[in-house]
Amino acid sequence: MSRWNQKTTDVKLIANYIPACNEAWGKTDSCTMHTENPLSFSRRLPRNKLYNLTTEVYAPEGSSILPFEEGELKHIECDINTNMDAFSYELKTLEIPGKSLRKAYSNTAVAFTVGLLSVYTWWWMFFRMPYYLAVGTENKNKNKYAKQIPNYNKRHIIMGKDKDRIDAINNVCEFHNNLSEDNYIKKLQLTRNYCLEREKRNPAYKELTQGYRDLLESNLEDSYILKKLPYTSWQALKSFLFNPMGMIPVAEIPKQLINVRNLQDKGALEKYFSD
Amino acid sequence: MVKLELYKVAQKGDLPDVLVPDRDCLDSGMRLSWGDVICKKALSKALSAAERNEGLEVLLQVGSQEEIDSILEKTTKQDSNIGKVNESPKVQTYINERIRDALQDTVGKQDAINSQTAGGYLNYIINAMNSSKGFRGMVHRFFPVLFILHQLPGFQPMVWSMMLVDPKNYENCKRDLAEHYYATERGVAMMYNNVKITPTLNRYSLGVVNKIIKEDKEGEGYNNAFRMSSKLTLPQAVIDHLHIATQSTEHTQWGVYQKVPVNFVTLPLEDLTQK
Repeated sequence: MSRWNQKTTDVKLIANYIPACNEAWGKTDSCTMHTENPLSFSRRLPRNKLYNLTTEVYAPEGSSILPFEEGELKHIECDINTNMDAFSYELKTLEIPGKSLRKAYSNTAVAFTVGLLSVYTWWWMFFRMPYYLAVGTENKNKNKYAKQIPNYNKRHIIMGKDKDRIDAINNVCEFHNNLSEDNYIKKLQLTRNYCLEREKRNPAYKELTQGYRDLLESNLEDSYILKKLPYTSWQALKSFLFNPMGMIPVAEIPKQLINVRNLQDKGALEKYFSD
Repeated sequence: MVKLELYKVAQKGDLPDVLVPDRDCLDSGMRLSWGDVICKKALSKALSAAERNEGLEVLLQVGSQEEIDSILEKTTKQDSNIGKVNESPKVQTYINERIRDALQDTVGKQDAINSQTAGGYLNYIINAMNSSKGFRGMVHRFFPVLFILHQLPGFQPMVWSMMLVDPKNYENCKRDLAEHYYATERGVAMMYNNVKITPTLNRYSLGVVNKIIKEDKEGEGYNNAFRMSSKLTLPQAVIDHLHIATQSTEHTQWGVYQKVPVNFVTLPLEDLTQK
């Protein structure tokens, strides 16, 4: 809640319905809701100001569709917000030791300059703890923006009313459901290409392509444990530079892919509401 | 305001309904983060959550409109018996208190334990730092170096920074970690002492599942609901609840583990001895 004399800005977040599910988590007949990731969202936030967040949900419309209920919308809102909050909180906790370790190095840099001015044997002092210089720099760069996520005034969710976006989602749903391809990944790739072709005419497709990209990536990427363990030489080098004490891991940017009910199978649920 | 979802899931026959939280109690990193945010000012200009007396908002997800009506009726009857004018029927004092107590007994207790383990993790970092680099340890280890390297002035700044600058940073780090922990602990306590409940309607996913359980087709109501719940994307905690219900009351998959183990040693050895 803001004070009476305090300025707030309005920020919009767009959530798109995608008629496909992440099959890595098992074959359910559900679909997904996609929004931009918390890092790119937090880049749009104002500095040192409170903001009001409205999440606009875009879903297909028509006679063969059972729309979202109030409770389901609230559930989507909770999931989106908890993903964002968890990300900013993780960064905050990891930055407490990271910040002070970097500071320790920068304080010694002052001593180096004194040595540089006074003696000729200054240069080797750099090897005392140079690896502290880069402790958690990835986390720092992310936290620069993500720390502003909890500075909100109000957050609420509504159904979107932009006709271009709704048309785009209707078209994509039609295209995806009428594909004759059996392979799940190829199906996603084809719909992504379909969206890419239409980006210039209708910019609403731009977010849909990003959604399909994220969905593809989540199916093809490494598992959580493989991301954390440095099993290639490049990852080992990175962890040596950014995590020398083994205590400050890099915070992953979560993908905002939320499981939602398949809106198009109205027939399966109709028998429960016949009376 | 911090949000927690409670799903009102039905039981077979005349048994009362069960309230299931949206996520596993062990996975309460999110609520811990809010405990931290509540006890601190996000921005210096804004009021902190503690100042505006914010707590936990519980979204009570309900399967049908009749249940919401019945909840409201109960509260109005209670108030009318006392003889007071019911000014705000939405504030359901009776149910509020019951659910608040239940939350404090189950979810709140688990959150308190989890906040302590989080503090243990921070203590782990502090101990790791103390093991090699405490203030006293530093001073005692490097005090002779001050005299040994007295003849080489280039080493003087390095030794001073080792003795004074580094320990100060570690102390600051420890202080920050401890503050972070105490803030979460205080915030969690504050959150569960101020609970606000808002019922929301969720007919299409929760309502259908409740109807399937009550219908109890072929004595497998929980099993049918379990199959449907992943399709309707209820939260994983609710799906787990239904799975346990099938395993304990209807039929089990644990018979798989009751067969006689195969003795691998005898099979190849007999062949070898014959040859």
